[in-house]
Amino acid sequence: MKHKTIYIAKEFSETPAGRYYTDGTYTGQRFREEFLYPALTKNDEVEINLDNTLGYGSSFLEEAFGGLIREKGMTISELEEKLTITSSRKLYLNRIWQYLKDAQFEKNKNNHTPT
Amino acid sequence: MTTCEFAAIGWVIALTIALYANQQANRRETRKETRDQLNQLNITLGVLLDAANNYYLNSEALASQEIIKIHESLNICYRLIEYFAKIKAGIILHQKFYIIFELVTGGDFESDKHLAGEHYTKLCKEVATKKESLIIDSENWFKKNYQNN
Repeated sequence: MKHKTIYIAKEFSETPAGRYYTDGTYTGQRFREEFLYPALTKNDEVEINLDNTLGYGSSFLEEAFGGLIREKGMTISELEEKLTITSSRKLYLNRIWQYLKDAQFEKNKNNHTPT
Repeated sequence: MTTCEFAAIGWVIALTIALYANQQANRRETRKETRDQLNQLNITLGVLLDAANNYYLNSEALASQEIIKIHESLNICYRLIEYFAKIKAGIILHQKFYIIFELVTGGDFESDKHLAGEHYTKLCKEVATKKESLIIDSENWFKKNYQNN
């Protein structure tokens, strides 16, 4: 079983910020596209450590994590099996799982919308 | 009644009084501690609001400095809110706090394209309203649970 841990502060940035590539250098979209999604496709389990950064805005977190469902076609049940998020700041853990649930809800809703 | 029985009753009364006094002291201590934490929450929410107002409305403010204050105060508030949820007869303030978190750190927060200005007035008013609502809830909860202690 392949396991990977990504320490955001060490491997990505101590100051992750912004949503899209166009918002800055260390954005949520970049983290998802270049770190998070590749790790999820190549490993059975992925742990994301959020500690030792300045903090996270909802735009960064929503794009990085919610985008896995919205943009990359993953499902919440798949992520519940593969993804572990660790942080000493519980606020972020709560928000990330909420963004995943919201993204899944929106996706399901759109899939059931009659054309 | 024998002298021994009188002595035993005396001990029971003394013990009951001591237990009651101890219980009251503990309640006062909890009340004081909770009041202190509540004051801390009020202060930190104030810091958050000031920093958000500066970041969104004041084009002369140093954005990076306000961002640091915003992150710090959000995390302190969350720890306090967790504390209030865990104590006896605690209060759940999470939902209102999450709205504040989304308002302050959503949109173009921390984007290189962010430009402070009056177009953010509505957002800042909404943050202020949600902050007040959260404080009112917590103060009402405190009055209800600790007023008579």
